[in-house]
Amino acid sequence: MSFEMEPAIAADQITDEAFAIETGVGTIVEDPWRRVRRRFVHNKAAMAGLVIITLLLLVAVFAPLIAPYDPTATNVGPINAGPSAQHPLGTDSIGHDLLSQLVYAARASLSVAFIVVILASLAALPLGLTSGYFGRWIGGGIDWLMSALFTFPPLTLALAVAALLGPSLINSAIAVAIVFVPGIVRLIRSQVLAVREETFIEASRSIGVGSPRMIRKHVFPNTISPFIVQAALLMGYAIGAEAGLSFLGLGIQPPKVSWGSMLQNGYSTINETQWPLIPPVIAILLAILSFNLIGDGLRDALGRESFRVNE
Amino acid sequence: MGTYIVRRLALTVPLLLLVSVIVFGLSQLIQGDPAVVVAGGQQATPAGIERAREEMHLDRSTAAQYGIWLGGAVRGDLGESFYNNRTVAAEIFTRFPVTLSVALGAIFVTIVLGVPMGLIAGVRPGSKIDRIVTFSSSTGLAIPDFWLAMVLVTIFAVNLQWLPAIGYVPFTESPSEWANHLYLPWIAMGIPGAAGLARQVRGALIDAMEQDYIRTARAKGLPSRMVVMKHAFKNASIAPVTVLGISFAYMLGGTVILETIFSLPGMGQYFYTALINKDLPVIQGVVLLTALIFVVLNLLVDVLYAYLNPKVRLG
Amino acid sequence: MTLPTLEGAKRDVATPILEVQGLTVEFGTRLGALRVVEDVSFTVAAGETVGLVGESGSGKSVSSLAVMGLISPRAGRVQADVLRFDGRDLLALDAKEQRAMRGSEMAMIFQEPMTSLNPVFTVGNQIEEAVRVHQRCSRKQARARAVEMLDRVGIADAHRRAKDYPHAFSGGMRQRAMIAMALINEPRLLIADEPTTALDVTIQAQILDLLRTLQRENGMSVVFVTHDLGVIAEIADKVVVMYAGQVVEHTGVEEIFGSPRHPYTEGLLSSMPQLARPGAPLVVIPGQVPNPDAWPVGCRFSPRCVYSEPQCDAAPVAITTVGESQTRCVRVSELTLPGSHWVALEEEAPAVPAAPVGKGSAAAPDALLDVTDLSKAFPIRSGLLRGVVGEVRAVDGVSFSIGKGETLGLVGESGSGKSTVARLVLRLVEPTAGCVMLDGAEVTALDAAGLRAVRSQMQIVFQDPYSSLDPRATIADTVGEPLEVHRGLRGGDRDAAVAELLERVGLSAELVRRYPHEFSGGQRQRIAIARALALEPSLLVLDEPVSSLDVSTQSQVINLLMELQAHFGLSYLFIAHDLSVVRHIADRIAVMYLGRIVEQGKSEEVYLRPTHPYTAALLSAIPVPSPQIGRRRERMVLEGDVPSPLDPPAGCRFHPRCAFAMDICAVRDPEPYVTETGTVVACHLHTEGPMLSGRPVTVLESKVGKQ
Repeated sequence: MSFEMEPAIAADQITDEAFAIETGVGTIVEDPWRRVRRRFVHNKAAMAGLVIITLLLLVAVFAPLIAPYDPTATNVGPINAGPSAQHPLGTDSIGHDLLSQLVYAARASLSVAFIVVILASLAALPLGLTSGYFGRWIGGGIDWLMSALFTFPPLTLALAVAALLGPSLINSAIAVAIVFVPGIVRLIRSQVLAVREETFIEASRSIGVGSPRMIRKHVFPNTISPFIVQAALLMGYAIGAEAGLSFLGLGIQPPKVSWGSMLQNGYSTINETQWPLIPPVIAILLAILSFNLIGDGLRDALGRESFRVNE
Repeated sequence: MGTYIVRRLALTVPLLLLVSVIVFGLSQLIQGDPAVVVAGGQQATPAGIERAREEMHLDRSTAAQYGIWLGGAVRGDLGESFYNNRTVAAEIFTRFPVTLSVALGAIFVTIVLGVPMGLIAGVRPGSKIDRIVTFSSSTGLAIPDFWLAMVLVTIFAVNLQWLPAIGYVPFTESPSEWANHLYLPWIAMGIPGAAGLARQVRGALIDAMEQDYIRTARAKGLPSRMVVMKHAFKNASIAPVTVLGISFAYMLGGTVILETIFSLPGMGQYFYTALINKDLPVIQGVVLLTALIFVVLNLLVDVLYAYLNPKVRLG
Repeated sequence: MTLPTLEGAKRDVATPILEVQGLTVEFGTRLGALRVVEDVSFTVAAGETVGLVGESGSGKSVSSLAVMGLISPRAGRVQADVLRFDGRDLLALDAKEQRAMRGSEMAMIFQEPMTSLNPVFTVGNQIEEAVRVHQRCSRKQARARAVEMLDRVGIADAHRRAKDYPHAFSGGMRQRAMIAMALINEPRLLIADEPTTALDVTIQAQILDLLRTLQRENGMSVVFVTHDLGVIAEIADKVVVMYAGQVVEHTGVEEIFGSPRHPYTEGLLSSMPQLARPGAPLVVIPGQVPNPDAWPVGCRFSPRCVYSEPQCDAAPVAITTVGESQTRCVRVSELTLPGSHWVALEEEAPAVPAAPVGKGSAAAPDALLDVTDLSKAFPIRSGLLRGVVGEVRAVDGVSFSIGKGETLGLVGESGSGKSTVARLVLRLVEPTAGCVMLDGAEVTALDAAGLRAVRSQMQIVFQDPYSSLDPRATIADTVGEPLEVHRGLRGGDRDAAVAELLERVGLSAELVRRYPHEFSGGQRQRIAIARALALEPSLLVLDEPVSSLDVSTQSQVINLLMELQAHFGLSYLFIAHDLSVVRHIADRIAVMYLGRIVEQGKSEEVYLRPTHPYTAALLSAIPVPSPQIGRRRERMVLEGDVPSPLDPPAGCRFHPRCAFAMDICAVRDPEPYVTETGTVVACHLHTEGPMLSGRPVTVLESKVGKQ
């Protein structure tokens, strides 16, 4: 590892902010949302992620049109076969068509991810906003509850809840959502705490703006950027978590399939053939990676100014 | 700093109380009647079910049940499994060394891989090497660890036959065999951890390199190596250390999937069996213990944090 | 550093230590390479101090970073015809050679003392590191040198303080530590980039004194970068004025103030409040500094220049040399510009006798705002249960009143509690004790609904124009919010009212749909003023409204405030740390120190004939925009920092730093004393013993001042 060169940002990558800091010159004028869009569109990795996710969503929506066979039908062809013209992704040990399974599994896996993030956000956003905005007692109380939830390893808690509620697609989504709540609450809370110190909040208070309007008009809009980034990253985590739960048999139940349960099926016959382990993992990898790339891209596009509200 | 630590300790009491409520609350989620399970499932007689109900205090109010359960837990009595007579505490005691062995090696792999990767990427953001590290760490985070475990088993145990696929040998019996059985779990668990840590270190380092004191250090004429390794690194280490402590705590809770795949008789495997059987005392016991471990480690991390940050230490 | 050079061997004493010719710095941005510094030339002779002056965005800091080699090659490109230090070509050095020179032969200190030291290493460690990287010596020797240097820069108990972390140092002490670090290898050139801008004036005076002393002792050259012409008058031998990336004037310090040749220099000088008649509108430079992507083709100052002619915009303007001076102006030979006409203040106005002499208070007749015994104590929580272990008495028994249409200036340094007073008056912070009456209503006794109603009568404008506007709200939303909340105006009605308000503060009504980040600091402050005016208040609390603005913008905003006051008959509580700004706008001045008002009276009286030693010291610390007078006068430089309000000194709070302190000052709180000119002063010098009895402190200086 060589440190001899001065560490710095490459010239073609210097951001407006870095430029402004370096030169003391104000940021070059541009509409904030247009700037976000421009930066995101120019981020090749993030755009690749967006394209892949869009494709996966299309596949999930049009699964019946794409799948050549009924995903639950067995013995549709030879068992444990590799890719062929009839079965582009081969078959498993009881003769499921893997392409059909993969396409329908996209429905389950992606919808779990969306359900999880929506559920967790619905619970966490109000909690985070109130805990950050209302000082010592309410805020401290919510924070206390979140600290307690944080003490459990995420997967352990999700597994316990999913197992006790009884394994099903929706229960595993609830379990994973619960695990995500404290993280989002903490993020929103810290953001609100920072925004609350801003002078524009004091300025609005001096005008006589009450708490509900303050939260709606000033606090919430200034916490939204990091939340959007977090939501994109959580989509990825949710797909991974669902896969884990289903792999252990605590998620989706047969005959329905998700990418995780396909891995479970593949694992049970790992000594006969390893092929069925490949397609679902590639799907999982692509989905998580894409959500992460979108999240990273959004973070860069929204820029640090969105996290610190003001430079 | 003394006051700081004592204060941190004092704050854990209400925290643990709330944790215990949540763990006890798991019992309220269970579907079906646990008394029926204990009394023998489908062969249970009404009298047997009634007896089981009394033994488990299910006839009492929820608050009373919580009191009884908490009283036991405080004394180290986590109850007995629904399915055999072994106490949960005793079972955890024999299984913990296995999980500890896995976690220690895994955290070692995490640090050894993650820190240098994060450093070489963080000193030159936007460079080719940074892009390689960022991409590979994203991939490392996206691959399910259990899939990695399966691939490792297939390659190194099944095909190459270099290492045993499954099982566990205690360190006290044979250190080399102990290690041989654990190499694959360590790697399977360490790689995603390293990927996460590399990202953390990279981000923290980039942040630190933008600070004013870095400009001061450069104005002093310090060589770049010292600017990075002394001035940026110590500041940049604060956030990753916190994350590292948390992930170590989570690892010590037992990794359900990996221990199942590698047939390691640790806490994760114990937990998994209990999950499938809805063996409530075991589930509660393991969850409570992992929370305890987290609280203790988090305390240590906070002390370390205070040590790294003179403002907290002396403030 | 063994670079044997022919040039080096041949050079004689007259060779400048630093030669810069045609310096150009470009940064890569998405718009392509952007020039932020263009064709900058100046020289620094041995032992000389060159002031680099300009507003933000002028390229002065970038130029100094470029000389220091601190612009990394990946971010920006530095080019120059000549960039020579001590006869050696800086651009020809490789990275290692440059590094060896940095910190040993040329050193730099920065603006932000609070963030320029690394928080996780001790101060001593960071200074000794500077020794060890350039000299062969043991850690122990380096430590001894560091302690010695800390002692030299005026850190008391240096041996022990070297083991402290930066957070235990005050801003002034950190800047001293930075100076120790920069000078420990006895560099031949020090580049000081706005080293006093973040500090209070009394601390600034200390640091400037220190720099002058060390410069004399070491015989080094200094490049002093600043936006403050007063500081330049105090410290510089030669001055380089920069505007929009270029040098517009390069000449001696006497010439800059006496006979400026560039209209921009003249504009900067005449917009200084010290140089204007109090109450009269300030001379302003219209418009604002253009961004580097929008620099005019011809003369870059032309769009803002009162002397501009069509020929100015035709082509880039070259620099012309006349005698020792260089000027970048097409009309340089035709124009004769007025210089600074600053005269010693005492000679200006005769004292006006007023009210009866003795004990009492100064209530304005027909008061709109009446503040009595206002106090605020913030609890300090510590220990296990975060129990209250003490309190910071940020504001301690403050009383004043403001008449209708009057301006009271509240002056103090950081920690004086002046901003807390602003918030207490509006009850943005709940007072611990005391009473605020606004137009007959007791603000301190109102319930939530009453408070909301009264808020429409008094409004506040904050210091930081960047954080006082919600970045996610449009200008219409921000300025229209009070109208929505109090009057229920919506949609078109609201926008029409907003447009009217914007025009009132000198902004185009078409800007209503824009977001705050599109505006410059001065424009943002205008928007904040428009918001404050929306409900037609009778009182405006102005909390340092111009202190974060550039000189040329500052005068625009001050003029606007004075014009609005005349038009609407507003009363102002004008809070500032800069006495010359306050004197310009205020009818009366109150001076705060550690939570108390120590002196209160008519502006001219307080400014010209201060009766409290602290006011006198504060005034004396303000740099004077005249090199002749500034360097000749006696100065009262206060020692040490403002004590912590956590543990304020007993008796008179100022006594540990007071040059005239008597025994009684450490024991008893001084009672307010009213002088014959109506000034109320809390100082034992007037009541105990026959020393002052209402006469200004300046009388004392000649008698007891030399201690």
